[in-house]
Amino acid sequence: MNGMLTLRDVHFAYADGTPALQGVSLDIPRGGKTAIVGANGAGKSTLFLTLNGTLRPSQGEIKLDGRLMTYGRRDLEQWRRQVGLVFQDPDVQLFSASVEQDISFGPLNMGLTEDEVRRRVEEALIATGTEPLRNRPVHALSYGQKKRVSIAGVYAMQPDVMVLDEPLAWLDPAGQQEILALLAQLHRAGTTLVMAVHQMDVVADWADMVIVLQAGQVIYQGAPQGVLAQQERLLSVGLTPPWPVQVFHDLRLAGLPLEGEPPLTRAALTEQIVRAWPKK
Amino acid sequence: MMLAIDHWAWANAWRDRSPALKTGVTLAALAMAVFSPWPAVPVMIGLATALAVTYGAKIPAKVFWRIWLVPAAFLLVGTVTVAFSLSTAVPDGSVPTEGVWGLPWAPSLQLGPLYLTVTPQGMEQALTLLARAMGATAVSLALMLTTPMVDVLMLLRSWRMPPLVLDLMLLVYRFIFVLFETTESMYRSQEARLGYASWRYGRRSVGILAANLLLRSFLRAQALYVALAARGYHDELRVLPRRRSAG
Repeated sequence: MNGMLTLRDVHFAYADGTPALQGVSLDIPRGGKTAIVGANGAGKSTLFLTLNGTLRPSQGEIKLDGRLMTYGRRDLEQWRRQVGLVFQDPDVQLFSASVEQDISFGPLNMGLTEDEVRRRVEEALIATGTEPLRNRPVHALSYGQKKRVSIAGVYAMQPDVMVLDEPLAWLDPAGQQEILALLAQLHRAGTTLVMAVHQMDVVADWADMVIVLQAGQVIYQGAPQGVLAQQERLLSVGLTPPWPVQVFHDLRLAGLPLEGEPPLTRAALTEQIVRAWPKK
Repeated sequence: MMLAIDHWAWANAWRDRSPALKTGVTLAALAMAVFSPWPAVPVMIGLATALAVTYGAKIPAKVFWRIWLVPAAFLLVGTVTVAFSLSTAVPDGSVPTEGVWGLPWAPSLQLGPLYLTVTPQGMEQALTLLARAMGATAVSLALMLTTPMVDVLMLLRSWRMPPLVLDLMLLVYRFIFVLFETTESMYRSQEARLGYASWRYGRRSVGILAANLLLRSFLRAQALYVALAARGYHDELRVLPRRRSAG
């Protein structure tokens, strides 16, 4: 498999002995949109910190672009250039006094020329819609604005892979749509995307690959249809199926002779209902 | 008060003026206010500063006045003591008894063997000192109110301040606000659960708040380091200098 990031039997436990990852093996496909789902405490955030070399697994190996990564300074530097991590809490990530300066931090660390850094900062400001905020102090921004600025800071580094830890959390519906549009744009430009997300409706619309984590283990990796349509299985790991799947099951129970697999999207559900209606 | 200063530093009309120019003018005005032998000069400078801040930088006079009152109150208390002199002599003896401020006598107070007296010289000294200090405070405040922290750091960098000190200043500045927000939200959540319903509960709540704040600060520092490292941090927080439209 042409994996961008490949994990094989990765184990990790925190200092207090709590095991967070227990033999995780997964492949992040190049140019894909991978959703990582799992209940709170399933190990998503820990997994993300191993994806850019922040946490060093006690066992197992990680390959980036086919190359086995080590934890030496050079490898780590390469790692951070290629894998950009957007943290869940923007207040953790934003350190600078102004928006523009915060975005320039990553590119400057890559040793780019000042002109190139300025060009990238401009591009990131425009792409994330934060241009009007350029000279604002970070503490004067709203939560949604901070979120976009923290994405801009990673965007400006132009990583091959962008890993986002619950980028939609705490955002209003309009804010969520803006972030998703931005991600679509990044994906068209060739960036490999990995995102932790709780809303299965979003996963159904967005992802082309789903990885389900439970108690530090991967219990599913594959196409969204393969797991999202399985109501019982999702519920057993603390997740809620997309609403069309729920309605599909409800209608069946109510006696509508729906056929085939439960649909993931509203359009597919409508189509099935229209087909089954005359038979009733 | 600190939040108000920061707000206006970003919102005033002189925000984008050169920080070097602003600092230069401030230092010149400070020198004039402090070294002038006549108390009228610092008073004039203070008034001119207030006018400049109000009409030039477009900061409401009320804002300037309120912030200036805080140090002014301390200065008033501090300088008043200069006006008094303590001596063992009887006031109508060796100490001159001509009136102060139109009073036919120098007010004095006997404290056992000592006399606390207001003398004309003491009065004049106190007034001069007060005028200087208040003028100087107004001038310094004007600089603080019109210069955002980013520019202050940039200026210090161009003056070859060690990067370590600058990085620390930057982080302290940023995290003052994070700490402030955290404290505020923790306080509100305690208050919402009757944590300050009585003086005794309040004392307990403050203790819990302080302890948690310390713990959270440590965790926050750790998280910050991880986040900085994820963006390639080595040993210096390098950011682009701000490009200003007006030169």
